[in-house]
Amino acid sequence: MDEALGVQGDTLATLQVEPGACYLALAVGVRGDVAGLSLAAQTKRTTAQSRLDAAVPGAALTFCAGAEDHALLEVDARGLGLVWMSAVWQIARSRLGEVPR
Amino acid sequence: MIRRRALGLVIGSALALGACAGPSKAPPSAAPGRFGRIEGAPNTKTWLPPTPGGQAEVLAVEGGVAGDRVMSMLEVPEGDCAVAIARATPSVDDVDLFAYGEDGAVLGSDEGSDKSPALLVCPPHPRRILLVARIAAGHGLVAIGAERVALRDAPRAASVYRVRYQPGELAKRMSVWPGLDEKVEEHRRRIGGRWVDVRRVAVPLDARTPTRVSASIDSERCLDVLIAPSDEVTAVDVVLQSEDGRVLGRAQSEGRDRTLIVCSPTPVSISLELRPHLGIGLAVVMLSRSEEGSEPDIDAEALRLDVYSFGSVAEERKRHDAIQASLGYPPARVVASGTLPLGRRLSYPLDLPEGCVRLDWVSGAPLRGVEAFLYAPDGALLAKETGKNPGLFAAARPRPRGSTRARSRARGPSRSSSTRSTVRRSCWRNTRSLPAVCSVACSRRASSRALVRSAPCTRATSRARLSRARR
Repeated sequence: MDEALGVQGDTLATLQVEPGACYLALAVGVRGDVAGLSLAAQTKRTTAQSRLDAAVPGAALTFCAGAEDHALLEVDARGLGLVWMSAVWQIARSRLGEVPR
Repeated sequence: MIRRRALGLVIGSALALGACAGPSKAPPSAAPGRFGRIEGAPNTKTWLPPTPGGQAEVLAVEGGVAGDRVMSMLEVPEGDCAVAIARATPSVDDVDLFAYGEDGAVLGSDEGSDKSPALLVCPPHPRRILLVARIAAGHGLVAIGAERVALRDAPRAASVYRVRYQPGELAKRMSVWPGLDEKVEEHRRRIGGRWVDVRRVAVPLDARTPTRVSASIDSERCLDVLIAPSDEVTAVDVVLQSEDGRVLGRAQSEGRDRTLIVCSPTPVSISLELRPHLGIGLAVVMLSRSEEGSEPDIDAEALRLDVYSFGSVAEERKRHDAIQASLGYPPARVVASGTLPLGRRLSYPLDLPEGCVRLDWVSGAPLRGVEAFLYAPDGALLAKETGKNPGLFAAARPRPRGSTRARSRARGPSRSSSTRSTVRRSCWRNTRSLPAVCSVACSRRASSRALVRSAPCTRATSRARLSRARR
């Protein structure tokens, strides 16, 4: 549902999400020297944060939209000459009539 | 943010290789068995390595996790250089170091992927310098220190402290891009005002995927964005978005380059989304911050986008009218005006004419955004929009005779404030009124006005019948 390129530093993006749906976000370094790459997703009520793993050249997290229709995705990339790519997929959605929490 | 504490320990007297920075002042010795809060900074004797120079001074020591900062002000005689360093305990993986003038000018930065950054600041520089160390990865204790260096010893000091980028080197590296400095100079001459470089970064561009770059704007300041794409890409679209995802505007063209100025009365984060129509290449994104007090000197003709309102409702309305007129809209009719209390929803009854209607809320300072909802009398949500001047579109149908009028509501702050609404109307093709409820909510107390426009005169809508394509 979303993909983007970015460089070193903090990068924010607001995503339109479906209330009740859950998402997988992934960011991976595609060029340069990656010293650290982390992801965070935030809605009005919840925050999801990726865990740093030095053995993996990227970061991933899942989050659920709850009752919100917007989520803030933050990519924090550290390194030299770094280029990263992020992607977000919808992995689940609430059934019709189900109230998102 | 980590709290700042100065340690202030001067050791040694001359620049001599092999001398030590020395330990920080130890906390007052406590009697055995004593328990309780103690004053002073953490003792760095066990982990702070000796520094090559002999006049090194520990300025601050703090503990933190990734993202935390240690800061200290440093005074440097105008004729001398200063080496600034940051050092950390083993559990910290990466530390970055920055030096700023009090006007926000970037005097140096070391964002290398290690935990021993070093900077060299040489004349011309301000007397008072802010040093900031940031933990980029890991957690633990971080110390920042500095050493006074005579101008003649600067190259030697840079070598022994392993300073990556000497003064002017970063600008020199960016100057490799042909004509960049001339481009910046010409651009700044065109837009007026006084600007300080904040960031210059090369970003990849690809027609298949947008590239995002974020930045922050200080209170009452403007940010100038100049984007110079390489020859491999064509027609770069640049969209400016606020932190909540609102599209604030799009950059205008200066030949192949794209430019915009964005201002905010409060500190905010913004994001730029870049995407070329064709090709894969690069662009240099240059961000500059306006010097304090220079904002009125910015050329009035330059594209300036405000995250929130700076002026009164009347001023904002005049500006908004000019923008709408340039888009071909006829004059509007004020249908409601008032002051919205923060955190409370107020409702205003509106009679919308038949046809396609545009309803704009125009907000004045100090309002920080309006949430506007347009409801039909039966409670159906017709439209919803958020922003400084949210615009709602609705296709209104004829109102049955004798139906009730709509109400309007607004959400406001805990502190009460007056409310005012006005209605403006223009260019109706059909004068029959239609009921609707317009509800607005604001995040800060302020006044706002609502304008109703009829779209049919300028943006005629037509019905199209879709059918299966014939092969």
